[in-house]
Amino acid sequence: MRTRFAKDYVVVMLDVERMTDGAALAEELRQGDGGIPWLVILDGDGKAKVTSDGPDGNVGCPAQPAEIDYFMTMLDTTRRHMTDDDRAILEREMRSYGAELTRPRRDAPGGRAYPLAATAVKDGAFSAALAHLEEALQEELPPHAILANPALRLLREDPDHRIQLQALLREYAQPEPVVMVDPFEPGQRLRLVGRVVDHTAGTPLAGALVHLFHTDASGEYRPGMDAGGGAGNPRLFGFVRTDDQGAFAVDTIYPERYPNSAVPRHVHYRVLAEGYPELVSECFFDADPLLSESTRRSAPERNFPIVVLEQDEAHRTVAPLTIRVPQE
Amino acid sequence: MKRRRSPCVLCAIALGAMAALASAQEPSHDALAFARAKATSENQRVLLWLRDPNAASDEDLAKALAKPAVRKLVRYEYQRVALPVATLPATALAHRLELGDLQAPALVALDTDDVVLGTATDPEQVLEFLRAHVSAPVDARAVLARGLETAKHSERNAFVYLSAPW
Repeated sequence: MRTRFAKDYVVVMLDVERMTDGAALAEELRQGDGGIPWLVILDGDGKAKVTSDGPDGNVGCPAQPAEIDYFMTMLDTTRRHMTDDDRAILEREMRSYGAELTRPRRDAPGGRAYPLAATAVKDGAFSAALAHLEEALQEELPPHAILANPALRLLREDPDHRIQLQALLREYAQPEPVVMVDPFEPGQRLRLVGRVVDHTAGTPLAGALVHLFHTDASGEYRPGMDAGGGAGNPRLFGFVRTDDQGAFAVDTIYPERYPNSAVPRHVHYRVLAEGYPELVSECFFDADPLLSESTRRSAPERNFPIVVLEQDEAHRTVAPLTIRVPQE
Repeated sequence: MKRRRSPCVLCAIALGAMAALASAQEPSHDALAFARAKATSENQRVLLWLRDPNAASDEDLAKALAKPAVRKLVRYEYQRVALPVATLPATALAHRLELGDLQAPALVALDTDDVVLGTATDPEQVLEFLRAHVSAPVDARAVLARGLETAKHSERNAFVYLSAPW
């Protein structure tokens, strides 16, 4: 959109308070007092063509539909290179963005508490951030948004607060796809598509809580702890509940092997299903050359699924995983 | 003057920063990178606040930063990033910035190239420290002149946007 806009306009940002002569220049341009933000489109000789002073006052920050209407007339009277398509796209984006800006924030999932959590993390106030997140979850913030949010990454990085974050996500786990990593987490993306069933009958177990964790792209559960150390408080984790069909989905990364270790890649999980004892197990990956023949042979008996990676229609790497929960 | 606290539509349009809206909820994972980018566009400094929740003086520094005059100066002249010590990002950053023996809690003033301009640990000296490291003001008329020149040479218009730090 910036490129479209730049076809006709060189943007000049003037800070009236911090720039030398900013206030005086603003007064000259406005020919008097006025609002902030305020806009003027000048030709190359500095002659004003149109300003943001519309029929209903200054629309320096056009967000309401009538304000955007006026802003578009500002462009229509000055654009020469932008095409009608450019204009249409710009208008569409502005209206969409304006609608978002003017939408009452209470309507947003998580209410006001969610952005406050991000601010608190930025300030290093992790306890406050957790309190905001709990409030946001009560305001129907989807739990999967939290681990996917890079603004909350520092909360996950801090071992003490990570434990509290885990407790929170466990409590609010839902039968919805979970994202365990934010977009900046290194590693090959992987979608675990799981199903939790009764070990004997194969019937789906609805509402089961699945807790997953694994190593990061460095093969570590926690930074600086190699050879499998730190699994008690891993950095990459997720909680999800199974749906009516016993199904769940988790977006994460392909776990790396422990550094300098012959242990093959694996994902740990714990499953709590009503009427069943807790299952603690792990799955391995068929394509891993470190997966030994003896492990392959003993896997069914030990209830260690071996996952065969696939590609879905969206070209994502998918790991179909069936978790069988024994009654005893 | 009419004031708007929300991120402006035109900021997004003009600066290509549609992410600004998302950033109200989802700022960059790398808070320092985010602050650096913002400071660059605003001619500001980056104020790195290394926090140590276990140190008694952490609260003192927090109180110093909460004083109205300090808060205003920070809002106008700095992009603030708080980072708890004893975390991986803090350790890596301290190493990269060669902060050496600097004991948290502490403030570190950085320019937008991550050059350390100074550090402070004394709550009584915070205002003075911050004042000492603000960036040199930019001349508004020079900025406008440059914009007009570019506009004229490229047969475009200058889209002039008057704003203020608040």
